[in-house]
Amino acid sequence: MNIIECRQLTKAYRGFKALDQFSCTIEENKLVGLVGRNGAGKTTLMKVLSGMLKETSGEVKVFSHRPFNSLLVSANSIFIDDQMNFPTALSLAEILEESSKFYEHWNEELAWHLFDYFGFHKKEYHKNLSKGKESTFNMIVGLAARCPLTIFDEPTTGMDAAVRKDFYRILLKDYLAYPRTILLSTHHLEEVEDQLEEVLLLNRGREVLHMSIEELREFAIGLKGKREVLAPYLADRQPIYTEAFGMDEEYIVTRNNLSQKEKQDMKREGIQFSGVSASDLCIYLTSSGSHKGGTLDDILN
Amino acid sequence: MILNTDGTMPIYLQIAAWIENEILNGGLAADEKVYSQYKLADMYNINPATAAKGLTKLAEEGILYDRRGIGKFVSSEAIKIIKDKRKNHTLKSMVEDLVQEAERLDMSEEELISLIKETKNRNKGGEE
Amino acid sequence: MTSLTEVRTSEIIVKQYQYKLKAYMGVLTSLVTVQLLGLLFSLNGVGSRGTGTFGINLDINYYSADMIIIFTFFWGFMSALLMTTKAYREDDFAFITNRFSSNMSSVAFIATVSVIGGLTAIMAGFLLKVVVYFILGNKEIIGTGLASGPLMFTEGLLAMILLVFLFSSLGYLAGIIVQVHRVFVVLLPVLFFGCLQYLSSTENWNLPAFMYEFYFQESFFLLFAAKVVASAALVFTIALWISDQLEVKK
Repeated sequence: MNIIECRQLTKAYRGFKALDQFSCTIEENKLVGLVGRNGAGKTTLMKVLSGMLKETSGEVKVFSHRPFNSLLVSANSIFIDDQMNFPTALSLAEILEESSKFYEHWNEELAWHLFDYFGFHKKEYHKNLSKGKESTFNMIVGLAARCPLTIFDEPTTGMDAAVRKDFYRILLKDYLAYPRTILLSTHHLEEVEDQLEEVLLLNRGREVLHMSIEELREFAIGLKGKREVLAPYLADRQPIYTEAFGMDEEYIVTRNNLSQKEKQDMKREGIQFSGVSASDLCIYLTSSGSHKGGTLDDILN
Repeated sequence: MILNTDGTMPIYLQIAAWIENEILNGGLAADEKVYSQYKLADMYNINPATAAKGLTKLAEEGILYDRRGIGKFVSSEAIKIIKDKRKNHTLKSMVEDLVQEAERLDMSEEELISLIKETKNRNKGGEE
Repeated sequence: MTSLTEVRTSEIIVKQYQYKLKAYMGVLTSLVTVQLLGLLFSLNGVGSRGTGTFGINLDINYYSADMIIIFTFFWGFMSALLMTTKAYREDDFAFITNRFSSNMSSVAFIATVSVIGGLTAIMAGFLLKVVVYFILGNKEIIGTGLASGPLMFTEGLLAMILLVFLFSSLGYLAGIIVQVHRVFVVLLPVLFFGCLQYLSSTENWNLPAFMYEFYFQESFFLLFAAKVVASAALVFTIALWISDQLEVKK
């Protein structure tokens, strides 16, 4: 079953299209990473999905409902970002208490357990927290709410490395204990990719690719060798990324669909192979300079 | 086992390899239930779908068999299949690399074979 | 498949109302401040007259709680306006909400504080008398108006509450309109006073006079109450309709 369906979804701000004819579907109980450069449309997408923004055109469905102004979508989803606005008059403990009244599946035990683990005090106020602590607190609310659709927009902003590691671990543990659809945007794919099932890469308001993390990791291959040796193999291939190396060597990233024979031939001619990490690939695919005139479709087909 | 996350070997293959090793070293006997995808996900801090992919691969190769609704179990031919696979596949490609490197270094066939023999004898000596 | 939580709008409105009672009680602090300020201004008196004949000096000072009442209206207007600002609206979105439930719970909250505001304004009127008597040392107090009978008192109190509610509704609408576009911060007062000026200067139809007559010259209390409640409801409905188009977290 699809939890999220977007068709030709466009969201424009005074002419600027943050989402441009965007289409995608996300299935139930997947843990999906949303990646893309700044301004790619990640946050806009998440806000449209959680009903905070109204789509300009196209169709968006969450639990088969249009999210804007939908109480059903609001009751079954939670959106956590680093600009979370909790009532300023409430202490942290009171915010958790209020949240527990609203969210049906609220996990009291998890909430207070994490609250203590990360060293929060009941009488602290949200606005007095440091950036990292604020993110940590928001994360607790997001996880404990156990909403069928949980959306995290760059949840680790300001967290130190140890807390980020804890967060990914807790996220996975709670996802295993209580499977649900989780959408998480990040600029550090390498930190969280092991815990993800799928990656959705956005660029300029459009979907670049949407595939499982395993596919993504094997999507491309890095070739390193002398330029003239590499050239004949690349005649009818679109490189995703090219980098000059040393005097006459080149590092080329291309789709990982070389035949066994091609690989053997290349190996014999001293070309070295290497894997291309998912996060590097995402950077290559969305950096404007790497296309060399070719469109992404040329690469993908 | 600690997962190697530098991208040289897919995680699901590392999971599969780890289970194969468990079977080879007797940690998992024939007809014994292997860890579920969720257990593996928890153990290795990875997505359960990734763990499932590793298990599915082993099932496709006949190393594991499926009991609907219960889980995956070690097949009776598991050890044989793993050994065959590693001989025919892993070892073969290692030998290919070895031969290629030897050629690049202008090593003769005899030299290479004697090097292998030497290594094997030394290992034997170490064991005794 | 995931079992979705079915929610009833009324249930969410009640929950939101409860949390707003807890979270936004800060408006009562400003209420106290505003009414004390009104009281202070009132102590000046609105007028005095002195006569002396046959060796007797008669000083008459007029005191009026008008200031307190006007200040309370203003407080209602501003508090409601504040509740429509981005920060407050986003608060609701931290929990379960849609625009309708968010507005309805706010209306319920505003109604509650209007009761408190109206009640304390009347009380402050009494306080004024007491203060005048004791602190200013006036010997004889002759009261007029609201306290001249139990029925009159009740009606006066209810009228006060309803009017605070009406002013709050106007503040709420103004706030929502400002949320649509910043330009209304300037445009709204300009339009308001401009229209007022224009309409009160036309000869055939004088709006302010009409309004005054419509609300305050109504001698039948229940009709007055109905008029005020209907007006407030109309204003809130317009606010709700506009707010339905609003986005949060731009």
